[in-house]
Amino acid sequence: MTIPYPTSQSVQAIAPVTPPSGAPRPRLTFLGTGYLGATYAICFAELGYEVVGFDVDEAKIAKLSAGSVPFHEPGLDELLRRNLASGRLRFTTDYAETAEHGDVHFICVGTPQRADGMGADLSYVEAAVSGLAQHVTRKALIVGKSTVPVGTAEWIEQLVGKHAEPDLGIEVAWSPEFLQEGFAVEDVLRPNRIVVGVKSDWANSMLFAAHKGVFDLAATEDREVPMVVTDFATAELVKVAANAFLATKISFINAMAEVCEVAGGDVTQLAKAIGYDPRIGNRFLQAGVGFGGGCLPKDIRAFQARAQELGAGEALRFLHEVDLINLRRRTKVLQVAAELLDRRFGPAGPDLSGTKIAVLGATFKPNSDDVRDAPALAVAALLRKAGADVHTYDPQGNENAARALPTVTYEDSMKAAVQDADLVCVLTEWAEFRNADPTALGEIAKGKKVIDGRNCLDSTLWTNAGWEYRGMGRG
Amino acid sequence: MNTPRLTVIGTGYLGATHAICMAVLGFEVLGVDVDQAKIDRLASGEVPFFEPGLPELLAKALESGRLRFTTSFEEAAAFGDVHFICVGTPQKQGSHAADMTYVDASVAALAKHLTRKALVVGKSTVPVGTAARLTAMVKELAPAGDEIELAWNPEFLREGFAVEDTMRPDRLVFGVASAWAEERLRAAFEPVLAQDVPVKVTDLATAELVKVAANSFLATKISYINAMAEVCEATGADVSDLAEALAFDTRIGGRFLRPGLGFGGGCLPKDIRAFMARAEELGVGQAVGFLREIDGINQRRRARTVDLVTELAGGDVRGKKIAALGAAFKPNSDDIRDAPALDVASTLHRLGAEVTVFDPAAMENAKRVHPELTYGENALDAAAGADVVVLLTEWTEFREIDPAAMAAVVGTAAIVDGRHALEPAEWRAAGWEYRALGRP
Ligand SMILES: NC(=O)c1ccc[n+]([C@@H]2O[C@H](COP(=O)([O-])OP(=O)(O)OC[C@H]3O[C@@H](n4cnc5c(N)ncnc54)[C@H](O)[C@@H]3O)[C@@H](O)[C@H]2O)c1
Ligand SMILES: NC(=O)c1ccc[n+]([C@@H]2O[C@H](COP(=O)([O-])OP(=O)(O)OC[C@H]3O[C@@H](n4cnc5c(N)ncnc54)[C@H](O)[C@@H]3O)[C@@H](O)[C@H]2O)c1
Repeated sequence: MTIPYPTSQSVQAIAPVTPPSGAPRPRLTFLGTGYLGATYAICFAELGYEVVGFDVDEAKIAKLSAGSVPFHEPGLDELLRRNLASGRLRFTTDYAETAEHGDVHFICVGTPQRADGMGADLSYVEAAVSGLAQHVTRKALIVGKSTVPVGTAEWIEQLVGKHAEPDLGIEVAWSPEFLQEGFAVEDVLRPNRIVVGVKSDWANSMLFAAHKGVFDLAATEDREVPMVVTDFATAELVKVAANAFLATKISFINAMAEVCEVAGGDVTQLAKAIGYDPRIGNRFLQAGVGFGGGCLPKDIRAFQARAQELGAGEALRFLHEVDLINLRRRTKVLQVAAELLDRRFGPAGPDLSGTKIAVLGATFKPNSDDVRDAPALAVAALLRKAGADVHTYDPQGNENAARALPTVTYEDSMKAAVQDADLVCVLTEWAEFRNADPTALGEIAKGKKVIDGRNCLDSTLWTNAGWEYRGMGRG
Repeated sequence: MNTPRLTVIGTGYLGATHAICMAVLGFEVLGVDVDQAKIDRLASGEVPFFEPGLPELLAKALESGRLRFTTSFEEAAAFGDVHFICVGTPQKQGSHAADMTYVDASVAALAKHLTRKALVVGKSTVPVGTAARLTAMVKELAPAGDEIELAWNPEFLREGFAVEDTMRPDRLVFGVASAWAEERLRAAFEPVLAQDVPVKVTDLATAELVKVAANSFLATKISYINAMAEVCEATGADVSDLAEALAFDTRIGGRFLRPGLGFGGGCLPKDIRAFMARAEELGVGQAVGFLREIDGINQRRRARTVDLVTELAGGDVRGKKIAALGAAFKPNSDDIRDAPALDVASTLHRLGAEVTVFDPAAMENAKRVHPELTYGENALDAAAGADVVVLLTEWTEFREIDPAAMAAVVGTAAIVDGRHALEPAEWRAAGWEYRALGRP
């Protein structure tokens, strides 16, 4: 759905430009072919652009060139193969080739949390931009898409000035990205808005031309994609601000779950009742083991760190609480596990040795194989540390999980994980788990005890099948 | 079962609105209050506060003969089948907790006279656990004893839209302990439910929590965008572009995402504080510790507005003439409880400014609480000769002010838009120095 907003710039107002390469539509490059960059490169080739994907990781580039997407994303494999075949899409590890191809270069490299603090690690951005800038030989636009601290675009402008010929007139712009893993293709082809931070009409026009395929697709489907044109700082902030809000909303309902647990309320009913209010809305209002992944946790921490540097740390102190609420949900599962298994929860945590626990789910959300800062995996680690024999199964995430947390056992099926378990924990809301048959599972489990860490199971169904059921924040 | 006769105990904003609307919808209603003057005014057809549409409905309800008012609990107990408790639950003096003395007093006064089966329904905003406590109290005090049941039906009406919200709410929440109580509540809301309003039936504790949770969320959303404004102020970004870009995300939504001077009124501030206090008592204070930050962000917006005015006044407001547009905590209301507008106006006065206030509805209330301030006849009158104009409540009539007309009467054309209510380009074009929170 698009919301018409009177002050957003109408797309018609933008003057056409000729791309510096002379091609009829700008030629695009994407630097960093991870989740974000690979999805973009593939989807924009699909929209008809000539695209080069660049990465420093040779293995990844080889895989992509061979037609295989190195991560799980529904629908992407087919698009990759189709566009490789069309000749519009290629991958390289060569900066010069990338610089030569592109009119608009999108920076899509990772910006993880720094090992030594809460701030974002910008070394990959720096490497990609300077590597590219050194090889650019004509005017071009460098567009940041990675999630970065406010002020980064200005810094990149200086970086480009240092590494490129000044008379080339290379410009910088910012266009934050909102795709969600699991829906990445749809989100790239049909975004609910495009935000650009620009300093010149030329940059604005080039960005418009570089997204014209998205606007044209929308027009054929009788939709409109609003474009918000603003300054660098605001564009950078949009992304972290959006993530800060979503994290806050999730932690808000999880805080209500904490209160429900002591007051005897039911947070699922509470969420339903407040979700009717259109000022609140029911999206992102499911209580559970909280958020994780490569974005939300690191983004809210980096945001706080940056605000601190700017002297506005006070403004974002609530995000620290949001983070703590989120992390407490993980310990809560451990606590409920101890209760269900009749183990004492002492100051050092419970002793779960001698118990067998099935953990269903490892990824931070369903329809993804991403296990970065995944609550499911974190809980599995806590259970293991407490001495339990943990058997994990995830429909897509086993391989990544085994690399990140080698101390638990990985099973090839839900059944194998549940076999003889004293306790089952559902920690990622995959459809396979939501639709599981509690009677069938009850026959193979040893103890019919289940923790629904995502409030995604039908509690009546499970209770009727003889399971002792515990949700999150449900009395 | 038959249509229940209703009593509404406590006829303030909430109670008077509920009583009047229910009578208009066809119920026989008795309004009860300890404040004789208020009861007399209501009985004579006068709504003691500003609420669009309500005076007309009061006249209609009185004329129908279905609505009466009394100060007698005995009469109320004899009359009613379903009793709605709508008394105030203000912040306790010297503490963050809710003051429950009015709820306890009114329920006790009613219970003593309850001699037949009846349902007592709490509507006031209360700490979780109150319903359970009152259930025990009522059963002990009422001659009808165990025949009396308690239910909770939290209220979500917004002042300024109270009639609409009562007649056509987003949802109804019934916290009940028995099927009988649910049936009685359904009967007491029959005409409302007939319009397909969703009902969430739940336990007493969840129903109590729904209200404070909803208010906590709204407060959080407002303070969230105001925190973004603080960051924008530190970076030169523009929070109104930011809010616009965020609003396209349907998980966020544009409602309550308008940056500005923050929230006030008789509900949000006291409700989030009472929630913190109650969570603390329950041993989960850390769960809602974030609300302290939410409160802090909100308070800082007021200070920031004072700073912006001071900046435009040349660094010192002493002896400067300041026009304050707005006093109510929000437009379409005369409610000045914890109003950010009056807080800013009185702070400027304390700092030595000559402050002239105008508000379309809240003048009388404002004068009572802040007699030290000067009051104008209208916006232009308040702005006459002003060094700085500050817009503090986003009444439509302020949004529609002609910047050129106002420029003609002020001393200096400088304005602080505390509510992002004006179009900056228009005001700047008319020669104004325009400043807003969170914008360059
Ligand atoms: N994944 C998402 O859902 C998502 C959504 C919105 C925004 N983002 C943001 O996008 C950025 C990338 O995220 P991601 O999830 O795609 O990360 P990722 O880790 O999957 O991918 C990053 C890629 O960058 C490559 N890289 C590192 N240094 C490089 C260099 N000098 N030149 C070229 N490539 C280099 C890495 O090899 C890797 O393939 C981050 O800032 C992230 O916050 C991600
Ligand atoms: N005003 C709103 O918009 C709104 C919205 C939702 C919920 N609420 C909640 O509803 C409750 C009432 O709020 P309000 O704004 O109507 O307050 P109010 O102060 O306007 O009205 C309270 C009324 O209760 C009367 N009262 C006090 N003690 C009494 C007693 N012992 N017996 C009978 N009457 C007594 C007072 O005289 C007064 O008329 C509060 O808990 C509030 O949080 C208010």
